[in-house]
Amino acid sequence: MRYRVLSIAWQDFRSIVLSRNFLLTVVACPLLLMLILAIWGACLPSKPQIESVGIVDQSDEITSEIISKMNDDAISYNFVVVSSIEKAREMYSQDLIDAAVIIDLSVEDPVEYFGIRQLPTALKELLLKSLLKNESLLKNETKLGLLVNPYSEQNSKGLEIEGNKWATTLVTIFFILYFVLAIFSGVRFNRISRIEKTNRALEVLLTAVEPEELVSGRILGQSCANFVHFQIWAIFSLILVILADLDLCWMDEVGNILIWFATLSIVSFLGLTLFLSAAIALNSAVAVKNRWAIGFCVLGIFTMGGTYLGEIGYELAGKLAQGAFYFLNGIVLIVFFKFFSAMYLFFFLVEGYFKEWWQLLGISMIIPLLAFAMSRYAISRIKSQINNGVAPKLDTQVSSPVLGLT
Amino acid sequence: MSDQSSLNEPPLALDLSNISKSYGNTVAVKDLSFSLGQGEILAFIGPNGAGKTSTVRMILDLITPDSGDIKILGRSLDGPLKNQIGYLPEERGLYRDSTVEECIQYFGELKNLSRSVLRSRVSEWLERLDLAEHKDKKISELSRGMQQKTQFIATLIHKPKLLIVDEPFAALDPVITKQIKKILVDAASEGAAVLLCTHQMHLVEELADRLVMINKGSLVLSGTPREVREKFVTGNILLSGQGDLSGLDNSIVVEELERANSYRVRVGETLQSKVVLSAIIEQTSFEIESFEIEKDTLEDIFLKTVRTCKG
Repeated sequence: MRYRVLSIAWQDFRSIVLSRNFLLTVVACPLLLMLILAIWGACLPSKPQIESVGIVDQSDEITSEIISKMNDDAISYNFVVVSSIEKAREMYSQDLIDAAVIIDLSVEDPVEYFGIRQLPTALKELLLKSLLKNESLLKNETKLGLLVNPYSEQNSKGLEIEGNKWATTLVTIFFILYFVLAIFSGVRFNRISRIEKTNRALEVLLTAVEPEELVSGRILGQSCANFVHFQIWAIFSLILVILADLDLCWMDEVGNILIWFATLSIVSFLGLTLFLSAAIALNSAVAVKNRWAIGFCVLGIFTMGGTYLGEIGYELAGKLAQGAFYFLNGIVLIVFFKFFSAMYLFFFLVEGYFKEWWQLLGISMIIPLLAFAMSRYAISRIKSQINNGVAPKLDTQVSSPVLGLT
Repeated sequence: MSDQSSLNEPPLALDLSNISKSYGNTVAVKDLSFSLGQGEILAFIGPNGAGKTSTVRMILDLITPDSGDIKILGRSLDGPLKNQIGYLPEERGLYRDSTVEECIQYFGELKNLSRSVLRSRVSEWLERLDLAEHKDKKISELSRGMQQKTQFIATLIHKPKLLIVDEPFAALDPVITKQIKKILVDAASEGAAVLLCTHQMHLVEELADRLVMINKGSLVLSGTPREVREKFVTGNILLSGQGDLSGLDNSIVVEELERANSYRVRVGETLQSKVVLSAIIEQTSFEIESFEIEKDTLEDIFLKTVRTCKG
């Protein structure tokens, strides 16, 4: 049995990795993305240098603290006390100040600003700390939107240091790349299942192997292909990170970049790739229009939107209504699942969302267990469909690519 | 003694007993029984939607019958027994991006063949079917006939004892058809039981030891091709020759055929063929060049049976 599972896995892996589409995707996506970002960056107007910021403290509670703490070498802004909003606007129009921050702690939305796109992180931090000192103002804390990343680096005064622009750019690239990877993994699974369904290879396979073997082999093969895909992009990302001279999470603890990379690889394999493939298998197995379908789709937050989009192809042929249902569902799933899977990756790659490496590893171990449970469930669904009379030919309710007998 | 001899007999390759299958209110297969011995070629025929695919899927254990029993080589289908089955679907169940050799090896591996055995069998089959020089080509680069030959090798590579082939000759040229016919006959002569699903009746006549015809899920005809044809003898006379047949008695109906100087003389239930022939000789000036008693072809029988069932 193990031998056949490996054969199926190898066949799937090879058919993906050796395909022209795979090579094109792996090479073209990062290049295209960098090109787009480069063009975009070149087209953006350069930011005006902000040097002086007017402070209008209508409640007169924290201006002095801001001035004393922020007009320092560590902070590049020059803060100026301004008596009113009108005065601030006048000074802004006369180029006496570059931006203004208006503080009124007595209202619902206590901080407003103009001339800048967002509050400087250091100022945000200081405002929060000032508010926390004043118990009467604490009630407004959650409304301020002033919470900052607790894992961010701080300067000697305990103020958050502004983010590295390189890191921001790279995180954007990683995010988009992993998002694309999540989409491709779904499309691939669906493509192979669809081909086998169309040319009846699936029937031939099922005369040789058990459904468990087929699904297990498929999950393994797809996972390995996704893993290779991920590794190539991770190496690409790593080169960028090294070129940008960025700090990587846990590097202080693991010490060696190769160990760091190996850890990342294991975690990513256990997490993203295996999870995605199992999720797709589950999705394929439960894509049956019956009274359970909606329930499964709610559970579908764990499944791949790409597969749902693939299903539309089937459904549109004769069942527009169901296709529309899947489409809407697919959109929701894409937004939820793919977003979170991509977030998951880039957070631990650069931001180090989990403070300790073992925390992330622990979380990642839960994911394969979940994947295992999901694939077991997928298999039982497939068997039940095959054996218990969900009619393969005459019952148009069956649309599962894994079942493949419609 | 007879018990002893039956114990020594090889089990039937396939034995269907009263199987039925419904999808909702639609009956796909109804109380169907037939069997297939080892070394036998059985043609499984029927119009589209007759229930052939459902039956094959039940045999392959892809779906379960609502009632009835299916035995393969004397027992119910299980894991190890799957390795004794070869299935050739009507569509090409191949991976278009794989090479010929890879594809065959993959299916062989799934049938638990060891790599060394597989390697020797693959090269042997590729040689036998003139595919050796194409072994590194992708399936998508092959002609339909070559794809079919590849599919055949993938189906037979593990020497199955039960071979189920669905429309194996569809759209093939005569050369490849001949090769594939030989493969089927050879497989049967080596002891494999062949279930041949096809609509090409001339090939049924040529290859099948027996045939089973189903319509609307039920068995409507079975027997050897000869037995079946004899059930449908009309007694009509096919004539060719020169002259005029108009002088015949009114009870004898003459029909002119498309081929020049050819006629069908309809023989009613009350007349015998030799009486009609005597009448032609005695009552007309027609000079007979040749004559034969008309028998329906299997194709005619197929069409008649389907029409009767519709009626």
